[in-house]
Amino acid sequence: MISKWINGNDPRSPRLRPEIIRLVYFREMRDQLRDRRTVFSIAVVPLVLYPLLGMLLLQIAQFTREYPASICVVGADHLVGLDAAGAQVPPLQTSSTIEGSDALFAAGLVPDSTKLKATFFEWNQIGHQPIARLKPIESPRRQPRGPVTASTML
Amino acid sequence: MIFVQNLMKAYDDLQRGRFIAADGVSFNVGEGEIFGLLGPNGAGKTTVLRILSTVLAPTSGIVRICGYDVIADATMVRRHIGFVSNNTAIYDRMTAFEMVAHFGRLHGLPKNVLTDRVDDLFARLRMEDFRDTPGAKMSTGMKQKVSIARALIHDPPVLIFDEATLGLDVLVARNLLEIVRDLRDSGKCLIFSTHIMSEVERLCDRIAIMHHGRILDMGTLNELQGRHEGENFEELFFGLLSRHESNTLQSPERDTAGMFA
Repeated sequence: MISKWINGNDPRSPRLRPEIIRLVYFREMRDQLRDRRTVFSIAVVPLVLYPLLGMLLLQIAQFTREYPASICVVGADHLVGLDAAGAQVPPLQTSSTIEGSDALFAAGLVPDSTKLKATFFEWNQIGHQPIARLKPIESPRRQPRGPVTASTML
Repeated sequence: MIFVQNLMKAYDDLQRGRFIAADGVSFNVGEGEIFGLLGPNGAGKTTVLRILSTVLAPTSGIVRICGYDVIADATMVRRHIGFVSNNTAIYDRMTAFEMVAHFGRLHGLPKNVLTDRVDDLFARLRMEDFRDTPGAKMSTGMKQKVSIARALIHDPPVLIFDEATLGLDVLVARNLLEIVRDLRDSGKCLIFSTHIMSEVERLCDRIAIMHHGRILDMGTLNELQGRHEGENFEELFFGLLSRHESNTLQSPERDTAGMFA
């Protein structure tokens, strides 16, 4: 008979004993770890699949990111002011100075000036001889793609 | 060992009203006896057995097992019974040995006793061949044997078999009945519910015929055959049920058990 084996044969103790909870817990754990599908979902997926997915998303994000186009303007100092014929040359950048690099193009010159990174150089800074005269610009033109020098805008 | 007096179980169904599953059921089962509960589907056999195993609470009546009341001493009742049903509920990823040992530990058997007990049961039930077979790879017969071993691991004095042979082939069912007979011979008190006549005829010392939640008649096979007409036990059973049905139809107010009241 069972009563000769079981300790604590208290007829009025319906509470769940900690030992029972421990037994049920370890049985369930062992059962889950024997299930290949569970092992795959708790070990293989986080260790292999999640890093792979992360790398893939990173690549997609880099591929779809928009970088500002970099335009280098050389000899912009010669565009400021009036030309010999007295025609008004439209402003190329937001400020009147040309010392600052990474400046913005003047409003209306390009569709979205924030996507164009402009770098201005004086003609003398890159070792050319000063230009005596520049032909006037008759009307503002759209910015061509790729690096633009002063000569392409004339 | 089992004492049931005027047991009643009623369910309240919001849509269908009050359903009386067991109505005034009374019987006793002694040591070394197989008591058969025989009845068609929906007769209330499983309800009575679930109340005996403390899974369901009775609406009214007295139910005692080994002197313990199923309501007041439910823990002690559970320690003194083993329950075997046709739904074996075997864990797929545990071997036969692990499963039986696990339930032994849940019953609080000490380690040294547990090992000897499992070995003894596996030898008695001829289970050594599939000792290390996981539940998912077991046949229905193997699962039923594991289910019996699990019910016997704590050596309970009372065993309840609820349609345990349902879905088993002839060989396995025959083997199961042999096991039940051996258990009776070893002094266990067994209650065996089924709707298969031949099993009752071959196995049970006393039989109660249930219908619509009531026991229509109870006694040994010879006593029942003496009281009722019928060429064989199946005819006797069918005649008893038919008479009860016709009586119910003639005076429906007298019998509301097993139906919606």
